[in-house]
Amino acid sequence: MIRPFTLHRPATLDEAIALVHGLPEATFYRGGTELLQVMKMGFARFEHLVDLKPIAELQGVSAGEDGWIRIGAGATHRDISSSGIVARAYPAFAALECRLANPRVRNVGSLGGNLCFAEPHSDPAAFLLAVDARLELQGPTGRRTLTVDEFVLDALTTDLRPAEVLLAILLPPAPDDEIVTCERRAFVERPAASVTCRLRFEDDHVSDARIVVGAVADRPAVARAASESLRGVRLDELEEAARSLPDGLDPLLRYEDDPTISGEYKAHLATVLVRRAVLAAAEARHGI
Amino acid sequence: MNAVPPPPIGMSVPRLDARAKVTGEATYTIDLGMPGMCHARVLRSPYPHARIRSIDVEAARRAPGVVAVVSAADLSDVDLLYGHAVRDHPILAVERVRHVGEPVVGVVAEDLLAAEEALELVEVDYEPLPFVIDAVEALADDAPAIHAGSAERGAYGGEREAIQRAHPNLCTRIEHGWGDMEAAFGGAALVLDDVYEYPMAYAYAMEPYVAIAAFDAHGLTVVTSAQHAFMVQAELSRCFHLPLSAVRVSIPYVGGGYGSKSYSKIEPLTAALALRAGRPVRLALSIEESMITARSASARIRLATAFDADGRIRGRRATCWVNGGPYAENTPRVAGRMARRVGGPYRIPALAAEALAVYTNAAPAGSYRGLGAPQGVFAGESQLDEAAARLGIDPLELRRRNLLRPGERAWPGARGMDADLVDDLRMAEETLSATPGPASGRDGDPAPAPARPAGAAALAHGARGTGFAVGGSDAGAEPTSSAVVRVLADGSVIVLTGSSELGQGSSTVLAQIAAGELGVDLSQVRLVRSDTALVSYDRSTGASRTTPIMGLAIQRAAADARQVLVGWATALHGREGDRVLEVVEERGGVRVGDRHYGWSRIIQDWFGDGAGEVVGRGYVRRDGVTAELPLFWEVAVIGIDVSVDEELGEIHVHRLATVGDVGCAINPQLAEGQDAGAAMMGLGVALREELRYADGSLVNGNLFEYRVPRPSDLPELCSALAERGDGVGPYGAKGGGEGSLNPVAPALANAVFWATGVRMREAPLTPERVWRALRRARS
Repeated sequence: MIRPFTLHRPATLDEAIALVHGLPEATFYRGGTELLQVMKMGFARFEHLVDLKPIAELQGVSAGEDGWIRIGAGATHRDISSSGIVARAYPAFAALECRLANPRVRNVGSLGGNLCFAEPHSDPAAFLLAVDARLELQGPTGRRTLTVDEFVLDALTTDLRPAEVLLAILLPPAPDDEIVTCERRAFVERPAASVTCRLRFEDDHVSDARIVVGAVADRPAVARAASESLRGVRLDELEEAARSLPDGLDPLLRYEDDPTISGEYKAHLATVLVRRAVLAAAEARHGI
Repeated sequence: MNAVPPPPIGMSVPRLDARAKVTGEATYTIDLGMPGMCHARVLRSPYPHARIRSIDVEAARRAPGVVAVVSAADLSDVDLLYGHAVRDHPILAVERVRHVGEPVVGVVAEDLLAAEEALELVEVDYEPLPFVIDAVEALADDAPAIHAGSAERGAYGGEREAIQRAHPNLCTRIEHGWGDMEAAFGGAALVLDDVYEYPMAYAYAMEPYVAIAAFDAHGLTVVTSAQHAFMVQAELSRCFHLPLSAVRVSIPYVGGGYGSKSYSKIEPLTAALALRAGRPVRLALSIEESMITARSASARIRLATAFDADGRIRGRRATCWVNGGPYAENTPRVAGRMARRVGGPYRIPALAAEALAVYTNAAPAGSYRGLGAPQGVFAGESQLDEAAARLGIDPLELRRRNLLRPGERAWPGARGMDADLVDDLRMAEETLSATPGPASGRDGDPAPAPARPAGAAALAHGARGTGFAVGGSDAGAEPTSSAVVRVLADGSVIVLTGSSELGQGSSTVLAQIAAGELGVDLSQVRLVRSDTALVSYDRSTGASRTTPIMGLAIQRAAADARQVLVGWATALHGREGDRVLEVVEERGGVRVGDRHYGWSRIIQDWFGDGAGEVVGRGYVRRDGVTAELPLFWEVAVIGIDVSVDEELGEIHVHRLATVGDVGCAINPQLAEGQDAGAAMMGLGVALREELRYADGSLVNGNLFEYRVPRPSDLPELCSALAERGDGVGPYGAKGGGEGSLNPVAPALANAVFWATGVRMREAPLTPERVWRALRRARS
């Protein structure tokens, strides 16, 4: 059961940070799709929840002059999947945000909350790592910017400091010669594997590849061996290369057992999903 | 049986509770309270099997807001053991815990938070004991004994299953069979002998278990989310040494049952806590707690069938290991049903089926929609398609050669088949073909799949296949019901029924029967349900018995009321001077000459002061049309069209067709809804639902890890109803609502087989399982 708590609704970011900084057992609260669950299950107790919904800086999706896309950490999955800015630059991400979890979660859950919770079985982190997104944080002592790799330290563990709030997720400009594709499978409520494949093409070959596998272990990770094996591959040989990806994609990747799905199957699943993501990218490239 | 049923029989009138439910007006147990009510939380065992060395509740008793802290030691005045089949289930653990989640201590407090906090102050010292989760392992010589000593036989009667004690963990062994097995298997052209596994499942209901209990000068009152008010009443009466009349069990709307709310679940505990608290107590479980309170029985079934070269079944042998958890609950009956249902609705010259209800340290099993049929039908219907493939016979043709014909008896003494199974099968084929969906290359081509070279599927997602399965189970319904119909002074009607509204729509259907029988408008009928202090006895709301059996009781009660009314009308208006006038019954009253006297007029004239009423009574017992068992055969056919992503092992269900052979659909829309819901529930288990244990604990006991189907998972689904008026119930109705679950898993496995050539003998057919099977087959 959920224990009573005090809900605070500050109007400004500074006020919100000051509240969490000053109150005992306080934390930020946005959609509550993760936080309220763990409070209900008794895994976490908070006396004070500071609601970030009223704070304007955390809302919305905007495109900067530098080409970067700024997604307010409080933007819901629905906000993101219905954003034209996101859909134009990263259609795969818009589609991913459209499919994750279920409609109730997508309607109230935020991308920022998803990242801060660092649930390993999550879709967006793998994508954000693949495209080298930046995370903007603000705490009592100022602002800093981290990569996803720096931010997500372990399962349910981030580099967030006390009273620090995730402000925004910044997506780099999507170059014309780059194609990003995502594939995921969820057999229970959370995904068993969620992969993102980012390929850069130069003339008739892949000039750069970055493949990230999420939801299979504590944190999303780059499949270096698989990424490496695709670099320099000619477009007409990409299908063959995709089929030759080693099972598990990289010997350094760990695939952990879930309660109902074995690590062995997840390794196979991730491999097939990456292959399909690569082929989808190749197909899209042909279409360009 | 009436030639033309009167309105509104056979009409899809809107559910009478629809408005209340969609507006939130409908009252469920959780919405109710009692003056002075306190709240309870339960401390549960963290061990699958342990001896309780000591329990220290003193600190918890002193905690703020705490009203009572109760362990078994505090209940010396209560009969602690309850149980439907065997009285082996303690209200709170006595000396031992036998599954993770078993209630050990109950805390009652002014509010939930105080109860929750006090729970953490209770100290229990456990000595862990060896445990066993698997039913086959539980029967090994060196398996830990889960019960010491024997238990008393439980509340249910009328079954021949004897409680046997060959092994300490063998709760019950049931045999069912006839014929010469040696002759059957001796001359067979083909014998198939395989093992099938059906999983434990959670009957997810939107409303978890919840009950309110209070003792007062009159006795015990319990408001609960249960299916069978009178069975709960009987159990409480015995546990608390009260006459039946002193135990009032009242059931408001129930947010889904599916068998999981059969018999007593949390009512004895809630009442015990109320007794010690001296105040009304509410106990409301979470979904996670509900998942370790009851589940379906998993089964391993070894099935051997002997066939002639032309596909005729010569004989069948089955052993079912049924995992019942540590308390018998209803598992002996589920096992008994499984032994009877593993044969299927086929002509089998010789059958030898045994079912072993086994004690294990998994959470207690109980009833689950289909009651032993889903497990047995999975094995039986899968094996028929295997035989069809081996013999080179179309699987539907093979079924047609073996299906019982109308009137034919499945076994000596059984009620003759009250369905046209061959025609039902034809309907299923037609319905599936007519179901919209993606075009299929192999639709209607159930020839054995050619061997496919490894890797040929590669990226071609979607080897396509169609599968069918027939379920024909002897309905578990018992013919013990009564009903009261009151025709009031204005001609409106109150029906008193012990049937619970679980969401299945029975209160609409029963009101339709009363309205039809009395010739009054449906708007004039009110149903009073499931309150043991107000309505008369009904055995249960389950086993698809409400429409045929309670329906029959209401039909008879209405006839009884009409008979009295006609008698009164004859006394009042049947003479003109010395002349005897003919009193003819007609819709809503009688006609004498050219004058119509409505029920209202007759009642008012009879009593003379514009008031009064008629009470009609209807009884159903094992007599007359309901003498033979089963009372009816619950028959359904499922057709499924799937494609299989061979790389990932993922099954995509495109189309699903159900045929429910219901005899007569009193309300076709509701009957179709039951079939669609049952098929969906069956699809959940066929594709992914499975409670899994590791180290003695349930590892996916929440809705994140245990995913029930949601509307977006629905394939294109068409439901057809077979209405031939051949059932025992009103207007030839039979029960529905379980039938369309039973054949779903084998229909799916058959479709996967025809798509890929790979036979899945373990449900659910998860992607990982299918992938492994495909990998084995292709290597």
